[in-house]
Parts: sequence; structure tokens; C-alpha cells
Amino acid sequence: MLELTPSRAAIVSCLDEGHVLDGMPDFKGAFKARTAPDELWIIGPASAAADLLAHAGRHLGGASSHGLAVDLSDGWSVLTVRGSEVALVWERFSENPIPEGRPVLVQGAVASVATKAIVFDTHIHFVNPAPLGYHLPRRILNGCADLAPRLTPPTEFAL
Amino acid sequence: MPSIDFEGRPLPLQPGDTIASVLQREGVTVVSRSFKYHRPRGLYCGTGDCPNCMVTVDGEPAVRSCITPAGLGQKVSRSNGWPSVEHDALSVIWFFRWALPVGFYYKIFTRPRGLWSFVEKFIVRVAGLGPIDTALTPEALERRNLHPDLAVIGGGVAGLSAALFAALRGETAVLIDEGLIGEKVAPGPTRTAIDSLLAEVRMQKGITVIERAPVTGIYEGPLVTAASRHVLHLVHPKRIVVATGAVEQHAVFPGSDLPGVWLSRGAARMAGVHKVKPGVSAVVVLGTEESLVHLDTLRNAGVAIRMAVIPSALASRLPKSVPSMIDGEVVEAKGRRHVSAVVVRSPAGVREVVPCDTVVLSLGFSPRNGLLRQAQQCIVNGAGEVVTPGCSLDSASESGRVAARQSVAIPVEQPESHLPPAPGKGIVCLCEDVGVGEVESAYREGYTSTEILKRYTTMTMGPCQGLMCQGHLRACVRKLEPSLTWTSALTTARPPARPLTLEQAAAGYDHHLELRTALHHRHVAQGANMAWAGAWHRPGDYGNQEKEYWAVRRDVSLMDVGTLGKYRVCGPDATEFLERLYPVHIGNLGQGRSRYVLSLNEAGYIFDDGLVALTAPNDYFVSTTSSGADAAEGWFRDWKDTWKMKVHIVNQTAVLGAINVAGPKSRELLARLTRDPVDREAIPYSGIARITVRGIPCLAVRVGFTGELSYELHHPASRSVELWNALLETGADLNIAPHGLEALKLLRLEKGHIIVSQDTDFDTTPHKVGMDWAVKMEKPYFVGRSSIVRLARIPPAKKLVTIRFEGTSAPNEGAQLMVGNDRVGYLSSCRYSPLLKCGVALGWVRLDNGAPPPEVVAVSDNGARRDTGRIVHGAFYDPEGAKLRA
Amino acid sequence: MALRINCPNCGSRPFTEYWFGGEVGSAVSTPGSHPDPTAEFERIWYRRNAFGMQTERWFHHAGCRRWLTAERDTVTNAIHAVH
Repeated sequence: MLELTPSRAAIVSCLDEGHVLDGMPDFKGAFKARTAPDELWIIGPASAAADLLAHAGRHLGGASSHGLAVDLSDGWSVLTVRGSEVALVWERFSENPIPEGRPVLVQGAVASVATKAIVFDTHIHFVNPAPLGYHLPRRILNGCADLAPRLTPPTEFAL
Repeated sequence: MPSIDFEGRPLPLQPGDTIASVLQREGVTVVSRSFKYHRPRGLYCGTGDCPNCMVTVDGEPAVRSCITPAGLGQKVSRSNGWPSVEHDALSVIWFFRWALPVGFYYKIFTRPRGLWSFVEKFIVRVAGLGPIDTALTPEALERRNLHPDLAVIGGGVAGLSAALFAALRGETAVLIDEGLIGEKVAPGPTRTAIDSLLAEVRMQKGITVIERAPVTGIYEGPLVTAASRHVLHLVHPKRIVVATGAVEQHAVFPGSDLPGVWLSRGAARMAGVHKVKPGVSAVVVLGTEESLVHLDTLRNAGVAIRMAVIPSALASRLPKSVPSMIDGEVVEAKGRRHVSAVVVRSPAGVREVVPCDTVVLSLGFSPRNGLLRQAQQCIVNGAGEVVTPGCSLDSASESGRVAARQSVAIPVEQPESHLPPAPGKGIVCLCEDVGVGEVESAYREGYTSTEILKRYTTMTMGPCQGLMCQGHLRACVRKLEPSLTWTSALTTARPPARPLTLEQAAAGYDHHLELRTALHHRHVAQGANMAWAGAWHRPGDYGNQEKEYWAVRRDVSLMDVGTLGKYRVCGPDATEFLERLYPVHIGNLGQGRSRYVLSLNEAGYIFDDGLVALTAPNDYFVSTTSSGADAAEGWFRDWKDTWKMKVHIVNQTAVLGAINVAGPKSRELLARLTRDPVDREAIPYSGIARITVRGIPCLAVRVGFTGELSYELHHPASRSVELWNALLETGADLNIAPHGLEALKLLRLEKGHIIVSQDTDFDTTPHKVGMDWAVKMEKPYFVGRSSIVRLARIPPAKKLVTIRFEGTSAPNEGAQLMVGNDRVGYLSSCRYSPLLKCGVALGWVRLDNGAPPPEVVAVSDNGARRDTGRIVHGAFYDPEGAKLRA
Repeated sequence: MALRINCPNCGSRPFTEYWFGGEVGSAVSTPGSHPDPTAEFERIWYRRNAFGMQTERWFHHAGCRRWLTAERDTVTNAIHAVH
């Protein structure tokens, strides 16, 4: 069985020099990953958005003069897919192999949409641009009909 | 009794049947009619390689019946015969083949003019592989990706050995076969070996077996595509082993394409696997060791052997009771709709006619190497018969293991000694009906090498992709031109190696995904007619374009402009960065002010436009057009990298929603919803301010695309619906109505504002559209400046002008513009203005001595409509901009 | 159809995830560099149309949304280096 749940998430993008970003302290309940040489993403529950932004801002403000933390939450839709067959979902919709060293954030096309995915063994958070957020749930419901997919009401993002 | 429906007749089914075995058991020997000459064709290769067994199954044409399992209630019919395939009147074409030489459509039916279009309709109907059922609705199929270490194509001895070897080394392997593994192989030592290897493979971890999935191509990447009925498999391996085996060498002699002529492996499969006799009495040609096993199979099935033609080397192994001819050959098959006798010739040249209904041929093997020759830059290696046709089981197995561990591609030798003898007479290409004589006449016309002979005769271009006849084509050329070796080279192999349906090719493909703003569902609920605008889906209108237009001009209106590209550009170098990027001054932009910008490429051509606003020191809000929103990020980052500047580029296109509140009453509406000042002093024209509207933080930008007082409200996208509803409800008594793209296109046209890409081309400079004011040449540098300096020395040949058409309606957009009989340009935008009661347009016109013509005639509706228009200067509506600046 | 490019930030990805940015010119446009007009014209308009190695730019739009520079052999399509 597959459970598809829209997750309400806070997404903060941190822009600075790589070494500054590497020193970013953890934030409880949030996932942190480098997305580019000058960018780091922190993804946590939507209710923590303000704290997350402040947390990131404190570090960047202290470490350099022109680091920047911006809240991008509204620009992305997060779909969390849970179930024993999440690897199969990945295989069907990505031309890239399921990443090793899970949990890990990977970037690339999933079902033709530019996606940042946080991949765990038991579930995957698919982070899609909001203007295309409608696509992946529809696609999984159709393309994984044999895996008994079920759409559940939105919940707060949780690792 | 279980049966299939064959042209309205029930034919009984046995377990394990293919469609072909059902037809053979029931005595249906003419299975198809040939592509051009409507010659009768019957089962031939029996292994899914030749085109002869193609039938229409449940509406799907060109299905290979010899490898398609028969199913209960399947509707099977033959095609390409009139009135029927059994008795095809069109077979007379064979006797008029002199009128249809190779390339006949270049040579005959060319005069009188118009004859071809008449003849074409007939040719289209009589040639081909059966009609397409246009009433069938396509099914949306899925695609599935696999990422093994090794992909093995072909589940024979070599392929199974390769997959096992990789798995035992701890690697993952995907093994793909076009049928069920082993099903095509007749009883004998090979089948026994396959069955035991398959049992091992099934037990082995790490091997994924995909059956009934013909591989259609190998692409760089590497990527292997395997099309099963409902799923397209995209296999992305590190290495590939091609073990597709070999096919019995195709026979070419007069009558060799008659029903009753079989290739040995197929005949033995029919007799041994399906227990159906390929015929009653047979002449067999035993050119290979393997064929001796097939002989036993045929005899056990009860086929009477009239004669065995056998090379002396194998003669001692022939049972004594079988009449034989040593070192002879079959030179002709006789019969009209089926073989009735064959002519054999002894080594001494003596001809003998042997009556029989079947000929079973084993002349040697040709490699099934279409896939092996694709994507040669990947690690692709062949194993087994595809490399060494007719090899022993041990060497097939060993070559599978060797290929599986190969980390580079070893090129396959294609020695010409493998070529069949050059045929003297007969049909060479079964798919396209090309005979030896046609190859020779094409050669005499100057088509002297395989690559161009292929294109001219269409030989090797049919469903089998040259699998049967490629070698014969080469042998023909070799004989005609013995001195040059390159002329008989192998032709390039390309996908698809096996046929696939369009449905399969499109499996799981995400067509044109439309971008939606946060207000999408709100618009749909409001009855909007959604239309494509670039990659976005936007409201074209809400049902009444004129009402929407008047709402903007007289009262107040809303438009969802969340599609605009929205960027934050900040950092210590932000001012210098934008100063270099844009052709206007950025450094002197005051805080809280914005400026219109053209985006120019290095050639000085316009590719986008937008707005730059200063929100805080070195912190800018930059907007782009909706269609340029995505590409802008690439442009910014390219220059950031080039100049190595300290600047942050934040794409906020989806993060921010935007609603344009436009119309003379927009200020009044906003004032009801915010405590922040929105008057002319607080937010003047082109000014920006942060205001809170009904609790929602907004960046308000005074813009003027519509020509009216308007405020673009940029806000968090998650609150778009809330803001939209608040504005609509509060403005109800102000006659508020949202407007769509159609109304906007008229509103901006009345102001003479261009839409980049609708009114511009790829070579449009600011000067050509009268926008020199947006390019500050006093700046020492900006992207595109050097090109503009150079282009300024060349007088422009055309210009975009505003044109006014009198009358009660407007000509069509795209109409041609004429002066007398001269075409001078076209209309890029045109609408009827209910306010000005005339047609308003933007059009490109040719300049005469640097000046546009004073008057043009717009011709539309295929010449039925002619409107005379006057070139005017400046905007149609409020040219002083008093309303805009209110 | 399935050329793959190794993005330094994201890993190996099919080329459909990228936009092609063309060959990297020998000179780049910067203020203060006053190249001779002919050289400037050639830089903008002329392409080498290389038969062999070419240094080119790709934008990973479906991933990190950053540019990369690749050394690609236009004959074999093999990509030799990415930075």
C-alpha cells in the first residue's frame, strides 16, 4: 500500500560561501542539505517557519556580512509518499537510480518535473515547484494503481 | 471449445498456441499478401523475424502471429488483400511490375500534372500492412526505469549465462527477452540447455527477468528501451550484453517466398513445440548440423521427407531411409498459391522436379545484430550466435560470461565470408517486395552502394529492418562491384530494431505540463476560460471580454499576474550587476522607485522585458514577462558566473503571488483594505511601497501596462485566494470584475505597448520598435551595447508602427499588409476598440527611404477581407499618460 | 536520446534536465575590456562548429539550477570533463 500525503513544510534557502553554509547548526525536526556551492536548504514543519528563518539568519548574520536566508515555502509543494514500495515509485518516475546513503536530498526530474526529493528507506518527500504541484499525485495515482495508492489529508511535515 | 475469431470463423485453441500455430493447424496457409505485388505469403521464419506472418489482431495491424500467444476470443484477420487475402485480385500487379520500377513515383505518373495525386490514392490503398483502426482510443501506458549493473538482451544460452555470471559476481542484471524465454527454440540440446539455465536464473538473486518485451533500441547513456504490451521499460545499465542470436539464412530463388517454404528453426518449432505439421511432404535442405536435429523432429511429427539435400560433410549422419541428394541445391519452388513442387539441381547440373507441399531450408545463419550495431560508444558487447552464428552451446555459454565482464566495447568483426551467396533471381526483401532484378536496375541507374540502394529501393527499411536481407543486399553489391569494398558495407542500424506502437513510444511521457498559479482553482470556479500563455494556464476571459475591458477603463478590475517572473537580486555587487545587465540606468534609481527594462542579448536584440525596483540598498525586486520567467534565472546566473560577482539571485516566481488592481477606482478600493497610504504622494506612478492589505503583506508596484491607475500587489502565494476574495468582495459596489488575457491584450494595444515575442522577432532591436528611450547609449557598458553601436550604422529595413482601421470591426491578427500590389508587412497585434470605435493595431512595415507608408491595406480571410489603415504616431488612448499617473 | 551529463552538484543526469548554453567563447564581454569591433562581432556571431572537442555550458534547470562547463567531443558525444 502507498500513502500519499501533502506535507505542510517550511523551506528556507540559505545563500552564502560554501564554508559558511557547512557550519550551519542543525535545527531539530528539520532536514538540511546543500543544493549548490552557494546554497543550502533547510526543510522543516511549516509551524516552525519563523524559527527556522531566524535560526538560519542568526548563523549567516554572524558568520559573514552578506549571507542571506529566505523563506521559499510558498513556492514549493511537498508530497510525502509512504509504504513498503516507495523504491518502486522512484523507479517508475525517475530516470536516475534511487540514491544511496539515505536519508539524502537529491535533485533531478521526477515525472518530468524538477524535483528535490528527500529519500528515506520507508518514505520519500517529493518537493515540487508549486505551479506543478498538482502533477505528481495525479501521476502516482495513475501509474501506481497496482500498488493501491491512497491520498490522505495534508499534515505537518515530519522527517 | 476455446477458440479465436478468425475472420468470423471460430478456430479452436490448444494450450501454448501462438496465432500462427492455430492458423497452421486449421490449414490457413496464405497468411498475408505482400506489400507491393500482393504475392501470397505464408509462415516462413517462425521466429518473429520476417514480415510474412503479420496479421491484424483486435484492431492492431502488423502483429507477428508466430510470436504472439493466441488468446480466447481474439479477433484475428488478414490484411492487404482484395476481395480477400485468400483470393486477391490485386495479385495481378505482379504481372504489371514492369510499370512499377524502383523509384517509380519519381519516374512515371509525373505527367500530366495532377495525375500523381490521383494515382497516389490508389497506391496508398493497395500497398501496406493493413489499415489502422482510427476509432480505437489510445491507452495511456506506463514507463518504468531500471538501473542494473548489466542489461542482457536475449534469453538464450549466451544471455542466460551472462546474467548468471554477473549475478554470481554480486552485480545486478536485467535480462530481457522478446518472448517467453526458450519458447521459440525447437526441442533439442539447445532447448534443454536453456531450460536448465533458466531454472538457475530464476533461483538467483539480483536478476530481474523481463519477458515479452522486444528491445527497440540502444541509445547513448546507455539506455535500453524494451516495449512490453503495457509498459515501456527504460533500462539504464552500466554495461550491455547483446545475445540476440541468429536467424536462419533467408533463401532467395524463384518462388522462395511462396507459402510452404519454411526456414528450418521455425518449421521444427511448429512441429516440435506446437505439434503441428508444417506440411505433409517435404524437401529439406540440411546445410547445418543443427538441421539434422530438426529433421528428426519433422519426421517424428509425421512429415514425409521426399528428399534431403545435404552437403557431403554431413551426409554420413543422415538416416539411410531418407532419400537424399548430396551437394545439390534447391533452385526453384513451383506453385501458384502454395508450393506444389521444387526443382533441385545436382552438382553435375542435372535438374530434378520433386513434388511436395513443403520446403524446409537450413542454409546457414545470419546474426540478428541490429541492436549490437547501435550506440557503439557505450559498453555494448555481443555474445553467442549474434557474434558467431551457429556456434556450439559451450562457446555460447563462455562468450556470455566473457561479455558480461567486459568493461570496454569490443568491436565485432563482420567478415564478408559470412555473406550469403549473391542471389540470381527472386524476391530479396520480403518486407518491401524488392527483387534481385530491381536491385540490379537501381545499381545501373547509379545507386552503387548499400546505403543509397537502401534508400532508393526501400530494401531493408521494412518491419524486419534488414534482418533477413541485409546480407543479400551486400552480396548483390559485392558481385556487381567486386573492386570496391566500401560499397557493400553494412548499413547503419537505427532504432527501432523491433516494431512498436505509438502508444508504447509515448508510454508514461508527461505531455505539456501546464504551470498553474495559486489562484488556478479560484479562476475555474469563477467560470474562467483557461488558455495557454507560454507554459502557463491563465484565464483568457471570464465569459465577457467587453465587460472585463470596461471594468478596467471605467471602474476597477483584477488580474492574476502571479505568472510574472519575480526575482530578488541582492548582495554587495547587485547594483553593478544590474547596471551591466540592463540598458537603462540602475545606479540612480531611488529607493522605492522602479524602472521599465528591456532584456537584450549580446546581439542587441530584445528577448524579454520587465521591471527593476529598488527595495533597500543593494536589494532589488526584478520582474520579467510570464513566458520569460524561467529562462531569466539562467540568464542572470550566466552573467553572474562570467563577471564573478557577489550577488544573490533568488527566484521568487512561485513564492510570490501577484494581483494587478487596475482601473480609475483602484485607489479607492485599496484604501478600504489598508491603513497604509496609497495616494499619489505615497505611491506615485512607477513607485513601490510595502503595504498591508487586509492583513496580508504586499509589495505594491504602480505599473501602467493597461494605461489606467493600477497597483500590482506581490504577496505570499499561500495567501493569494484570501487577497483575491477580499478585493472582489470589497469592490462589489465599485462594479469590480476580473479581466483575462484577451481584455489585457486590447487594453495594452490601445496604449501601443508591445508584447515581447508577439510583436517582436528574434532580430528586433529597440530602435525597430521605437523604444530608443529605453536604451541609454551614454552608459559606457551594458549587455548588447557594442552590437547596438554597430547596428546603428545600418538603416533599418522595417519598423513596428501603430495602425488605425476605421469601421465597426478589425482585421485579423497576422493579416498581410499591402501597398498597391506590394506586400510591405503584417499585423502582429490587432483588436477592435469599443472605446475608440475603430480597429487598433501594431504592425511591421517595410520602410521606404527610412519612412513607413502613410496608408496600408490589411488583407485577411484569404483575401476576402480588405481594410485600409492609417499609420498613426504614439498611443491611441491617453497619449499624455494623465490617467496612468493619476 | 539519453546523453547523460555529470552535474558537479547533483550527479549524473539525462541531458533533458539541462538547457544547452552553447560553446564558451574565447573572450567574454566585460566593461572596460575594449575588444576590437571585429573580434567582438566574431565572438557574438561566429561559431567554430567544432568537429571534436568543445567547451560548452549547460544549465541544470531540473536540479541545482546552476551552470556547468563541460568538455564534449562533438563526434562521439563523449563528455570528458565537467567543472
